[in-house]
Amino acid sequence: MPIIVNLDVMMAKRKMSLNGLSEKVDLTLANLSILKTGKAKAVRFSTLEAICKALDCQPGDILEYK
Amino acid sequence: MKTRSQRILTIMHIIAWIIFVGICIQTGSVATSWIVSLFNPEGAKNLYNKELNFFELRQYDTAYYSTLMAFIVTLSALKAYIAYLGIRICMKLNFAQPFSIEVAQTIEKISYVGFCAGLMALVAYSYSQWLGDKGFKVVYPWGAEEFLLLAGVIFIVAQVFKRGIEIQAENELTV
Repeated sequence: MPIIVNLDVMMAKRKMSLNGLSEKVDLTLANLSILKTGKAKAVRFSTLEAICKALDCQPGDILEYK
Repeated sequence: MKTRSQRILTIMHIIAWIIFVGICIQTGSVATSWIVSLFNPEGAKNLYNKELNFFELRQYDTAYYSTLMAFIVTLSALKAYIAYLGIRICMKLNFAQPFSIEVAQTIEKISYVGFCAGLMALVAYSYSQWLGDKGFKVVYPWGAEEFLLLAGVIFIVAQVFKRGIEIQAENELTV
């Protein structure tokens, strides 16, 4: 898939675990895992907003087009 | 707590079973009466009910009679199979994730079996018309148009259901 999800990179920079992020964005571990591993077919803006808020970053820091 | 739809589905499941058992009994009765009538022609007077009386045809030619009975029994068996597939759908349907590949395949199977039954009913109707020209009036509800209409409508439903599976899968992978 040409869209790369760099969630693990941002999580490492902010020193946040998957569990911690899951609690902050109110998303299940399973769904976060789907996003992290690049298996997601679509991302809601509300989810993207919550992740960016939790990791204090821009959408472009998490999503990359190759 | 069951929702209204789930309650309706449970009732439909029970009705589907009743219909299936009823059609199986009918098919078995007609098949048994046919076999008996091959040895005892009097059996052809009342094959399932008073309306199914092919005594004259049985007396005239056993092959013609057996061909007609084969059509009737096979069509009845196909109806029973369609009813069974309906039961399978009621069993497999899960309202939490309704669009599953098993249900889609079963719906498609119903459309194919319905189409086959419709074609067979058309052939049987033509055969009964031919017998009528020979002087043997055959009055039987073949239902060819009904089967073909069922096949067409269910086929479209099957295609829509398949698209529903794709949309459901995409929804499951939407975070």
